[in-house]
This record gives sequence, C-alpha cells and structure tokens, in this order.
Amino acid sequence: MSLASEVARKVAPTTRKVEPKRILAIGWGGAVLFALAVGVSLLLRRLGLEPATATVLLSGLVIATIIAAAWFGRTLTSSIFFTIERETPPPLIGLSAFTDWCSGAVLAALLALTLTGKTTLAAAIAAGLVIQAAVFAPLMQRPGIVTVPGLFTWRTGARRTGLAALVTVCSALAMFAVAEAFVAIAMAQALTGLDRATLAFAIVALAALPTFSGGWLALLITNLIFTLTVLFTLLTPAIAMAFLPESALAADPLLEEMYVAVLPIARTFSFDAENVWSKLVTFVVLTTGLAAMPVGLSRLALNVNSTAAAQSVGWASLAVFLALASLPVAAFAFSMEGSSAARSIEAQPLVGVLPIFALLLAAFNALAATLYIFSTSIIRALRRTQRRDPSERSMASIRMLTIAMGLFLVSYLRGAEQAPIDLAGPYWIAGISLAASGLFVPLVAAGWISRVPWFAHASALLVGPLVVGLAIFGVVDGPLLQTAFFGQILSAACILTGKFAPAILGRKPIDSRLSILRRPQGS
Amino acid sequence: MLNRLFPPSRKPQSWFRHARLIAFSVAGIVTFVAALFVATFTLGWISTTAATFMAFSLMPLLALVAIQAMARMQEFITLRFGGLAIDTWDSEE
Repeated sequence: MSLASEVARKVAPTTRKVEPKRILAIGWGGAVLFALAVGVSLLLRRLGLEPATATVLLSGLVIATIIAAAWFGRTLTSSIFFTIERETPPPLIGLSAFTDWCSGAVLAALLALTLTGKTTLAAAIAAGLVIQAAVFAPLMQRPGIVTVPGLFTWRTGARRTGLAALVTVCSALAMFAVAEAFVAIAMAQALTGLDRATLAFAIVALAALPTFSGGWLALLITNLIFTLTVLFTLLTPAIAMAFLPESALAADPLLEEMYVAVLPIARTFSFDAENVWSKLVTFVVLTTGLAAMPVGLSRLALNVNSTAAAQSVGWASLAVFLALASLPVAAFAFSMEGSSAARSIEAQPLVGVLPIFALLLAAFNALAATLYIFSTSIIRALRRTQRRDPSERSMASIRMLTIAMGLFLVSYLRGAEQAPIDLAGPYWIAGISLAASGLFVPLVAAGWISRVPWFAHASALLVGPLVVGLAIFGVVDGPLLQTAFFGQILSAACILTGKFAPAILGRKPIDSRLSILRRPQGS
Repeated sequence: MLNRLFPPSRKPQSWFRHARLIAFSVAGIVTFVAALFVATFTLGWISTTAATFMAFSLMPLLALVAIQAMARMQEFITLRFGGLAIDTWDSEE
C-alpha cells in the first residue's frame, strides 16, 4: 500500500468502507425494489393507471437508483476507488460482468437477428466465456496490473508496448461506448419520446456519475443492481406469459409505437454468412473479440486469485444463460405475431415495456463501465505504469478524464446524422473487430509464450487495428469481421516472427528478462 | 449458491468429488432441457424457432459447468503438482 493511500485512510476516517457482503445485499435490494415497483404498477393498472405514467415512475426509480448507488459508493480513498484490496467476492464481480457479455447492443442483436445470426452470437458468447476463464483469468492476477496496457508494460518490460496496447484498447472502447450510447438513446427515445440531445446528455451524465463518485466500487454496485434488474425485466414477461389470461385483448397504441421504434435494429447487424468458411470466421472473430474485451479483462483483475477469477466468469455465464433463455419470449413481445402469447402481453402493456427497459439498462451499464475503463487505461498507461498502488492523483485524473470523455461523447452523439438505432450495430461490430484483431493474439502470447521481444508484441497489437481501421474508413474493401480475421493472422505472424526469427538467423534470442531486471518493480 | 452447494476446499479434492459435481450438473441440465421441451411443445406457447434458440441458450450453462470444472481442476493441479505453466512467471523472470 502506498504512503498516499495510507495517509488518506488516516486523515479521512469518515469515509466508510463498504463490506462486500453488503454490496450483494444492496444489489438484490435494488433489483427487488424494481420488481416490486413493476408489480405495484401492474396492480394499479387494474385501477386505471396509464402505461405512460407507469413508465415515467419506473424511469424515475432507475435514475434514483443510479444516484443512490453513486452517493453511497462515494469515496475519497484511492484504495477503495480502485478496489485494490481485492476483497470483492467472485459472485459479485461475475454478476456485474454480465454487463460485458450481454450489453445493450448484444441483447438488441439477439432480439432482432435471424436464427442463424442469433445462434452464431449465442455460441460465440458461450465459447468466449470458456476461453476467458481458461486462458485470460490467470493473466490479470499480478499486483498492479489492472488494465490491458498495464499487463503488456509489465510483461514485456517496455513502456512502448503498453502505449501500443493503449491505442488498440482505446479505439475498441470508443466504438463500444458509442454503440452502447446509441442503443440507450434509442430505447430511451422509445420510452419517453424526448429529443436526442437531451437524452444523450442525461444518459452520459448518469453513466459518468458512478465513476466520478466512487470508481470501481460504485460501478460494481451499479452494474450489479442493473444486471439483476435486467434479468428481472427479461424473466418477468417470460414467466408472466404463462399466467396471464388470454381473454382480455386490447392493443395499446403506445406499445405499438415503441416496437416500431426498436425493430429497425435488425437491419444494422448482419452475421449471416453465405458459406461454411465465412460462418466459421464470423464465429471465431466474435468469440475472440468477446473474450478479449478490455472491460471484462479489467474485471478479472479484481479477483483475489485465478481460481476466483474463473469462478466469477462462471457466475457471469449463469446470468447470461438466464438472459438468453428468457430472450425468445421478449422477442415474441417485439414481433407482435398473432399468437396467444403476444396477445396476452398486449393485455398488460407494462410487461411489454419491460424488454425495452432491459435493453436500456444493459446499454447504460456497458456505457458506464466502458467510460471508466477508457479513462483508467489512459491514466494508468501514461502516468502510473510501474506503480502497484495508484495514488490520489490517478484517482482525480480519472475523474476529470471521465467528465471530459463524457462531454466529448455527448457532442459526438448529438451531431450524428442517422437515427441512433441504425448506428448502434456498425459501431458495435467495429468495436468487436478491433478487440478481436488487436488484442486476442498478443494476450495469448503474453500469457503463454515466453521470450517474445517487446517489438513483436507492439507490432502484433497494432497491425490488427490498422487493417480493421483501413476497412472502417473504406480504404480496404470487405466485410469487417473477415478483415478482423485477416488482422489476427497478421498479428500471429508478428508474434511467431519475434519468437523464432533470432533462432533461425542464428542469433541469441532477445531476452525480455534483462529489461525487467534493470527496472525495479513496484517502486 | 453454487459455492454453498459445492464448497471450494483448500485441500486436494478426490476424483469422486469432481465426478459427483459433473454428474449433478449434467443431470440438472438434462432435466432442464426435458422440462423446457415438454413445456414448449405441449403448452404450445412458443414457436419452433424460439424453442431452437432456447436450446442454443443452454450453451452458457454448459460453459458454466466447464468453467467450474476447470476452476476445480486448476485448484487440484496447483495443490498436487505445484502450479500451471503461467505460475512459473516468477521463476522465469
């Protein structure tokens, strides 16, 4: 523990430390509160409450929850801000990691895609979970490694590798942030009908709030509450469908409007491939991209050891299973087919609104986490690479940078020309392509291949995003996911060249140990 | 909940315990799938497409079983044989 945080702990005794067990209780409490509010609204509906009023009440509850979580999670101590004590139990971390696997964009894609696309994405999520638990969980367990650039700096002993990783991580995270913000705005527009500029400002401000007040801990609480709420909102229609009577049939014009606003997202995602090879490539890129997502990797670093990290991924997969199993019913509500199920949801419009709430909350969660990891990666890679224990200066810089990124994001979101729902898909696919092509191969090499020189790591980190970037800006022609696969091959070629070229040329292998030995760790 | 059902032990666990964990998990999944398909096709409240996707949604559950088994095996290997390849970073560097 650094002197700074030691002093901060002594001079600020009023800053309470939140017990991990209490966080779980807070999470369940928040989710149960939301479920109770839904139940009360359903009962009041029988007495004549308008669905629009109920929606406003639920939105108010969500905003109050965010502000409450930010207030109770506030801290001035950097050890709590970064949760460096690693006392958080795996279930908490795993349930909040659901945010990374089933973000708003992923849920929207799963709702709206064709069966082939849906199954490809679901299979990729499952495979990605296993790969992350098996390959990446032991990677992030060193003291002081909290972000992907930090891992590369430590592993290769060269700060330049960390900076190369920073470029890749930030480009992927920027894409994810924009995609999630667009999904959140589209869903909030469907719910409230407000204009885009207002919603962009409100959503980004709320997403930056937990990071600003309490860092990782406040973010974990917020993510946990909304993960459980998303599971409730997806499971409630699924369970309610079995019990709701089929007799009371009344189509609600408000609901119909909302579904029309949400449905176009199907156009923007396209994982449907024509032959087996391109299907396989799509699956591989989605799997590796999801497994190497920087936010999820940083979450692994919160666990006390690699077994706990693997178990937290297990908890995430439990939450993912619950969401996926209840999604078809929510999709049924969206499709408005003439079945008895769709008709019974029409009879209770609030139940039909719940899936839209689920998408909004999932997107909000992912946006908040992405903003935090974005600013943490930058600050820790530029200023505090060698520190085990970040200081108050890092904490203050992260707070300021999050605000700046939020303002930048709002100005970008306001200026976009197309409808938010049309833009979410392309941005998410760009993000996953960048993560898959730039991060997966170097991360595997960092963990499992020894004696790879730093410049091989750095070029492997940069070559994938370069190729994908060329495809994004239209210099290279081709589907983004296929281009990302090509980038992965180039990246692997860089690593293998760095590993075997010295032996083939008959030189002594370049040993990264020397540079590490020269520089004392953890000072 | 899972940890309460199968508490992680600090001691090396017997093969019987691992086999029991996997058997319980597989039995649970088989029961769930059976219940799902019975509900789907007898009650008829969901389309065949949605049922197909629900079958695919079982994959994260299989992932959960695989991850839990891997975490246990990792504990087992670490305690019996002294760590995985990645734990040798310290000695290597």
